[in-house]
Amino acid sequence: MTSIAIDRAGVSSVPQSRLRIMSRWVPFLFLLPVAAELIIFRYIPTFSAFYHSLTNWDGRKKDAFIGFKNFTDLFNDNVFRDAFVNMAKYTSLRTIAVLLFAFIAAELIFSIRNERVRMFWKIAFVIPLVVPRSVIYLMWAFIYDPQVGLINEALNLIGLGAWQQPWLGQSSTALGALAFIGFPFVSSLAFLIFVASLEGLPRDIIETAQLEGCSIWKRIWNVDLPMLRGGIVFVAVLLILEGLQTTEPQLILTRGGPGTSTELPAYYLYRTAFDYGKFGQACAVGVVMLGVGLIFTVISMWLRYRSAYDVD
Amino acid sequence: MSTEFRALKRYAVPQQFALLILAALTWYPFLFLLATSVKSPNQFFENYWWFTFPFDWPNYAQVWPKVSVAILNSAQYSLGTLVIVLILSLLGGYTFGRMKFPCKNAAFLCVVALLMIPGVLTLVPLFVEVKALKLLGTPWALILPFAGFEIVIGIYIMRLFFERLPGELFQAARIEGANEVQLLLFVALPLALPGLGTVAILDLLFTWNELLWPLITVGDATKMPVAVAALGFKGEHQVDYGALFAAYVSVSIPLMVIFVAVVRKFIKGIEGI
Amino acid sequence: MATVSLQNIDKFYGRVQVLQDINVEIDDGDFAVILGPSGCGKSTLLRVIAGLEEHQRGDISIGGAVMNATPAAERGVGMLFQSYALFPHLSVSKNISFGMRMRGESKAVIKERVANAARILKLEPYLDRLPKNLSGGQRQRVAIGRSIVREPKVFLFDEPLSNLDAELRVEMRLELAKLHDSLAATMIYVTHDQIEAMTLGTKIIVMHLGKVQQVGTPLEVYYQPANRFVAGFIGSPRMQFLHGTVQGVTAESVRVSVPGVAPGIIEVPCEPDGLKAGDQIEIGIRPEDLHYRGSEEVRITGLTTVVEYMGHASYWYGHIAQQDRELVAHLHRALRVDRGSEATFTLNRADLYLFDTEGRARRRLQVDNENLQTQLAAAIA
Repeated sequence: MTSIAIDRAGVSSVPQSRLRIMSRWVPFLFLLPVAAELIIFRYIPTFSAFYHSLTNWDGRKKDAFIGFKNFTDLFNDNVFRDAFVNMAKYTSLRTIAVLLFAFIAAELIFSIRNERVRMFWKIAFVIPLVVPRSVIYLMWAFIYDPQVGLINEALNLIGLGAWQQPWLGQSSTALGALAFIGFPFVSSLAFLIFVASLEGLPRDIIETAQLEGCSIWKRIWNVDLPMLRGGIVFVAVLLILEGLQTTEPQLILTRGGPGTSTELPAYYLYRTAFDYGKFGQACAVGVVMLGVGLIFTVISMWLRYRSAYDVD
Repeated sequence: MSTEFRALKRYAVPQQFALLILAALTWYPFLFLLATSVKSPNQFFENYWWFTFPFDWPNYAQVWPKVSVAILNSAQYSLGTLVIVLILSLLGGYTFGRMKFPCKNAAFLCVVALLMIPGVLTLVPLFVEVKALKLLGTPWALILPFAGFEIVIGIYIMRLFFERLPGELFQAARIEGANEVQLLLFVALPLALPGLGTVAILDLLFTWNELLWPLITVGDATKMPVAVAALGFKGEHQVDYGALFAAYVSVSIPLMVIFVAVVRKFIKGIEGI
Repeated sequence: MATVSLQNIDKFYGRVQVLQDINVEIDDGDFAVILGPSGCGKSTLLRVIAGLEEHQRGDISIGGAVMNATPAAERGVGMLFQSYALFPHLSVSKNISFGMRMRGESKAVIKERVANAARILKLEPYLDRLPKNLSGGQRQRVAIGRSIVREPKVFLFDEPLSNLDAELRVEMRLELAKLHDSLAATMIYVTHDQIEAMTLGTKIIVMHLGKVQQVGTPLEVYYQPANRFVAGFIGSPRMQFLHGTVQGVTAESVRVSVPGVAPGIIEVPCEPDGLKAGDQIEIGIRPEDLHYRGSEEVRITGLTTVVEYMGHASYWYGHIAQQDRELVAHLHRALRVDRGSEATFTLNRADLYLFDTEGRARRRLQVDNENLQTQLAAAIA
């Protein structure tokens, strides 16, 4: 019955089955459309951006290689430097605010025992997530409106009319006002991820902490926060990357002004390319942004995995 | 939601009060928007803060022609993207999650590494490329680049999803004689529906919201999606806040309706990631 | 219906060898049980037979045809998984007919075979239900139904009862036995549960560390274990071991001295098979062979550690001081002995098991069991 000689000392004597020979190609066949899409619309533009950041490309004439001139020009440009400083302020302010409020709301919901009630609050906070962001910004344009805006009207109502400001129209408040858009920041994926992570905590750990006489504040500080480290860092990375790419408030509300007070690098990139036609220079801005993003991500990952207890 | 309201009453605790304040701050601007959208200009100055009666519906009739065009445009772009994203996420997620092949980890890394590449980096080259491919002026100028961004997270989510499914289901189908394509269509696809639902919502949120890309690639004002069209309303209805806000509310409604229907499953799906 | 023959099967995961030179012949109509502790390679062997995993050396033949290169679907095997692997999105009838639909059988054939399987398995009222609306036992029957409509040559079962509660497990065990009788099909069944193995199997394949330890009928592996592993693995509570020294041999017995056991020299009726005076050996004692203060010639006295009363029986746990080893006795009545006091047990010298230092068993010659005699006689005939 033995049709194949068995070489006890040597290599495999079992031929590959027909199915396996065929199925060897199937994964690659399935991945082909994925690869095509990603190569054409993600990888080629990415490499193109790197290459063109070293050229004086304008999208029409043949481009010439100019070395790092785009980068030196950038760092000598006051507007770009302002944009960079603004980005640091805007992103850190927003990241901290969103993390804080999303976490507070998540803890408040987590402290409710009834699952139905928890679901009610989650739904209540998540629904506004689908309002188009343009509409949100336009809505906040109205909220900040100097004549009929909600904030100034509210100040008037409580007798603080003297505090009324053209919130977006003066350099002292414009950037802060942009960072404040979306207050109280609960309607976000960050919030959902925090609630999910908290609900994923083993109840017996929480109950042990209670039995050990741990107050709620101590528990949040000593149990919840350390155990949520993964979720917090993940959300922080998302928020930082989002901050780096922000163009919408400028496009919709401020056009980077007054002066350069709300200029951000991503919007600067957009204008460099589509207002001034300097495509090569715009690519250089993109490369700088990628570098900044990578640095933040690496730092976050380091914070995440440094003496982490939950990964090997 | 009525059962939740009932449960809410029984569990009135201090935390609920704090949540109520956060919810009020979150929701009031939207309610203000809604209230103003059904006010005549006079009503707006009569009672600024809250709903006035009777509702002034002509605001909606006035903006509907333009709003409906924008919604149809957005629907076209979003559905086109959605179909591609779902097909490719299913293929990619299934292949990475359930098949063995050489260089699998390296290939997967090539996909997820794209999460680190910000959209602004490729904004200009992608624009030039789409122009060179003669896609400008067609829906594909939006659909294909959108899909390129969305399938990355889609494949990641679907891989996790497939890895958590019991392998025995696929082995059983194989023993029963299903070939690879049958396995994909009759076993993987039906089992993957919950995961694809999560991917679909994330994708819709992205495409419905994207502002910058249509702004630079769509030249024709009648082809603009809602995110861009909403900006145009502001110019048209300068101080006619009723009409302006009616337009904002109208463009928000389609996705809201879909989302309310699936919000529980979406929350569960996000919790599974 | 078919024989299954495994010859020199080797399988590696990377550099780790998980199956080592497996040689087993399973006859047409056998209910072969692959029994072993977790991690012994038993499920891997089953999956190799099914064609779900490839092996590196050796031949698998089903019904006389070598199947090494044949895809799982074409081997003519039906497989029942531990989780049943029912498609949650398909109704019972769609689950049962899945394979036929994949192969594009005609509607009429599908309908007839599904109806037939449903009748045999008493699933007729549930054909339109989804798996989530079925009980554990019904799900298992659906999984069986999915296998039998394909009329496979061999049924493979991967621990199919381990997800059921104790009561249902007994019930399904009986159903599987009945199914085997009515189909008269060859079945290969993987389990770690020796009771399932003993009650269901016509042939038991005991595996450990990727190797076959013994192939035999249930009573053979119980009364004539091939080695210390098999002897210790089968039987509950487990066999206990004491060490001793060979004092002399005859053609049909080995005389041994075992510290702590009287008399000083015990003549164990077994084949010496190379043993000689002075060799170290181990004797095995099954808890159920010990009798409290009986009349048999072999006597052991131990210090009581604890006695567990089970109602219908009691387990005595004690310590043999001369050996520093533990002893367990399974007694058929409540035994009143205080902790720390001495208790004496007796047993028949023919009930002793003998192992050399490598763990290899010596063939026992006076196995005093009528059932076994008839069983062995039947096997020889």
